[in-house]
Amino acid sequence: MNYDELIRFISYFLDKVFISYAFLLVFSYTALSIVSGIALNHYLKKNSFVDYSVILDSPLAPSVSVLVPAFNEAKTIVDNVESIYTIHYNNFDVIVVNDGSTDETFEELQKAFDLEKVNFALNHEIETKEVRGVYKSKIETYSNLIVVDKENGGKADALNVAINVSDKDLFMAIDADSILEPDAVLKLVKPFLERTDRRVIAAGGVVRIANSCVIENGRIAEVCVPKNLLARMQVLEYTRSFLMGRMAWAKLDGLIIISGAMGMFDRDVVVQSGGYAHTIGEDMELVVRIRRYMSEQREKYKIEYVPDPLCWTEAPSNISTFGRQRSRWTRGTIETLTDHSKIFFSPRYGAMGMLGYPFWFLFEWLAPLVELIGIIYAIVLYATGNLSLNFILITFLFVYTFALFFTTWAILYEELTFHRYERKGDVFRLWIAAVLEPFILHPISLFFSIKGNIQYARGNRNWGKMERRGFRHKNGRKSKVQLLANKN
Amino acid sequence: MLIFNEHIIQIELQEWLRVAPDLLFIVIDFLKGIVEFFQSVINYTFERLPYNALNRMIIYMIMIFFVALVLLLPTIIISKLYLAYRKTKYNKLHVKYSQAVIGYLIGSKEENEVADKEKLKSSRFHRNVLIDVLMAIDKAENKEVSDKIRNLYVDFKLDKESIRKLGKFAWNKKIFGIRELSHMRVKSENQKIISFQQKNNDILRIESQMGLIKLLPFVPFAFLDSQEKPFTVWEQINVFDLIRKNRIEIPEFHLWLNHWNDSVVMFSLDMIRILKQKQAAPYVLELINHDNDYVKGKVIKTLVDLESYEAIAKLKEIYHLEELPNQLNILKSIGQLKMDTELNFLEDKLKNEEFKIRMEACKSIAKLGETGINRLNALAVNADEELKGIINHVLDPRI
Repeated sequence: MNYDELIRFISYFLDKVFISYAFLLVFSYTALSIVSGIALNHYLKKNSFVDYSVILDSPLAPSVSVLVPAFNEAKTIVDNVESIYTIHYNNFDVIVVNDGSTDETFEELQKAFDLEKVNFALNHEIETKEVRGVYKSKIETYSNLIVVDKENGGKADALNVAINVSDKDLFMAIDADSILEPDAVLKLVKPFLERTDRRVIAAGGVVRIANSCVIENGRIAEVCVPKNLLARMQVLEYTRSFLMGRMAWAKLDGLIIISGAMGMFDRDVVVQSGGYAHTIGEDMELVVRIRRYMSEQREKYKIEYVPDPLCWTEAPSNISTFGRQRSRWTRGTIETLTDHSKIFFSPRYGAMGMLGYPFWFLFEWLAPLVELIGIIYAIVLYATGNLSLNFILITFLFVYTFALFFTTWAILYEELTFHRYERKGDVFRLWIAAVLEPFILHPISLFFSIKGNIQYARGNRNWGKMERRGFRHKNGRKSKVQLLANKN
Repeated sequence: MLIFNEHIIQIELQEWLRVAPDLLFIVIDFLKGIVEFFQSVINYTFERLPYNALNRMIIYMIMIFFVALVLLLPTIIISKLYLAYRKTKYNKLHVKYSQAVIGYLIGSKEENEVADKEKLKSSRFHRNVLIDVLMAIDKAENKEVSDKIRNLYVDFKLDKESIRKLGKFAWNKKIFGIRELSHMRVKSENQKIISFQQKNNDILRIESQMGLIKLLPFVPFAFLDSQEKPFTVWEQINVFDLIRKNRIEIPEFHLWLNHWNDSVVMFSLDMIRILKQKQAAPYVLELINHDNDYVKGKVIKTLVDLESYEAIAKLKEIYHLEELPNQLNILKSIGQLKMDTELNFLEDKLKNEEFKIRMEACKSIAKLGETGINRLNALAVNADEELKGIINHVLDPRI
């Protein structure tokens, strides 16, 4: 084979790869959206007459621990813990773990909740860093609040300590800055109650973006489309991901991620499978591991997904924080996928092995790499006169119209289901963001995903800094604080 | 001739027939124009691209996405407007009917003032709002109020609307029908509701069971006899809620303790425990060697809650044969019954290596009262670090 033939062969091969990849991606996303639509319709029908309050005072309802890992959250932690107490549930406790904060996180908690050290005997079912002390509140209202002070060990370690402290049937892991809907626990508990022959080991819910929303007494008082364009575009991303992607994956039994911002788990299963691993993407890793564990034990199980918006979180509103988050997500994804490569196309692991994992591998990990190579390849072909500008333009138009169509579809789902954006012009503002997204958010995401790949290849396993601006409060406080929380 | 009367456009048939062909031509012309426009765009694009299958496919897909996008946008706007309109209309009507029904209940309004019968006859929307209002107000659990509401429901022939829902194809509509009829205690459709128990749709089956509990208050749990599918905790919670909130004949739940379906047995055990059916204790004790560990766990809890002291000897006997969760249940039960005669048995368990067993044994010793607490204090002197920690934990009243 001479040089020209080799070039022609590579060119032919790449052409086929890119075209097949693009069509497979379009097909997969379209199929997922259709499945998601069916699942959403079924969920809404099923729950249109459900009275969740029957769980509230039932002696048959399971007990739940709400786990809150906190690292350098001094300025917001008290408000956030108070907001947890707005949830509707009876049989629950709250376990806040101060993960060796270097600021006043623990002191703030101690002062606000009148904490005192108790003689808590900890069962080290999962190995963790040293615990300095376990504290309980002297205030009657917070009698079910447990605060653990420990050496710094990362988010996973803090969650593992909280699991060791918990003696409840289920636990709900949330981020310290998450704002829960009052019925979040009720709605997440219900799938566990509906267990038949398959044990429900985890349930996830929809996380929404709270930027620009009005917060009152620890609750979302008014849902608003973020004023910041970057955050607004992330609203679209979250809507696509949670309402279309994860809903469909749960229906197909291929869900391999439950957001770290909020997820409920069967405590026993998590303990038996070893608890949270010390990885960057500990939320995804845990789901994959508990699924692996159940499959390897040959136990029937399922992971449920609740499409109701149950949790609100703050999205990065500047490029540097957004970039750090995306690079971290990429590294977390790669780490989980490589650690559990055994399940790739393995029928032993059911839909996770045959569908969920391959999808994440092909369209989450490889997508930015394929896109980058595709762009470089197109530039080379154009520069060498082997590609017409017209073809580049129609290819771009193809990608753009699909992206816009897909996002508009997600907006339609949101409007037909939960329609939380009720203010005049909100949907229009979202759609304009959808028009701009492929030109703004997508290139930035692509850049930081590539960066995440490079960082992973170089062995970077750090969380990086996370900047939070705080939420808008109804009492006139526009923004709580501008704090830099060095997340481990 | 067009006559405008209260926003309703009435067009005479002849006028329509005269105008229709012209309108049709205009619409067809418009659609033709759009198709031609797209064709010209496609032709223009193809002329500038090499003619091959890939290019054609990409162009067609762009067209599909574009057309879908054009269809989605008005769908979003229309659905948003329609939902907002329905919500406002529903809320307004709900308030109106609520006030009217409350007025009727307190005697300030006559029945015929509650709603316009002609309106109800012609509008399904009105009928459904009034049903919602009646069901919402009927939560007062007052028999007199409940009877008055039921009379309204029947007098306004709203039961016909609920019965119509039972015949609908959509299963969720059927469920609304079941809920309404069972709430209003309309028994004429019982056979139809019973037939839903044979359906494969779990939700429909469960709802028909719930409905029958209300409709057959003297044999409300007959469905348990033939319960083949797992009786989920969610169903159990709902059934228990019905028992609490309705005038339902509570059966002797030990009748189902030998059921082939373990989930029914577990539910019966829970009911015996919660409703304190002490006479069931001997039947419960018979299940102590049940094959299913979960059932066995419930048996232990039930025996303790029924204060069955005689069961402790049997529980001690099986202790070593049990898995950890049931061993913990047995230890807990001794503490709960405050049986200080079992102090040595509990103390023996402190030698176990398993943290949970030591913790539970300590807790049970502490529950024995002063004797137990003194014993724990004495044990703490020579205890290993872990046991010392557990004893301190148990003796700490703040935890």
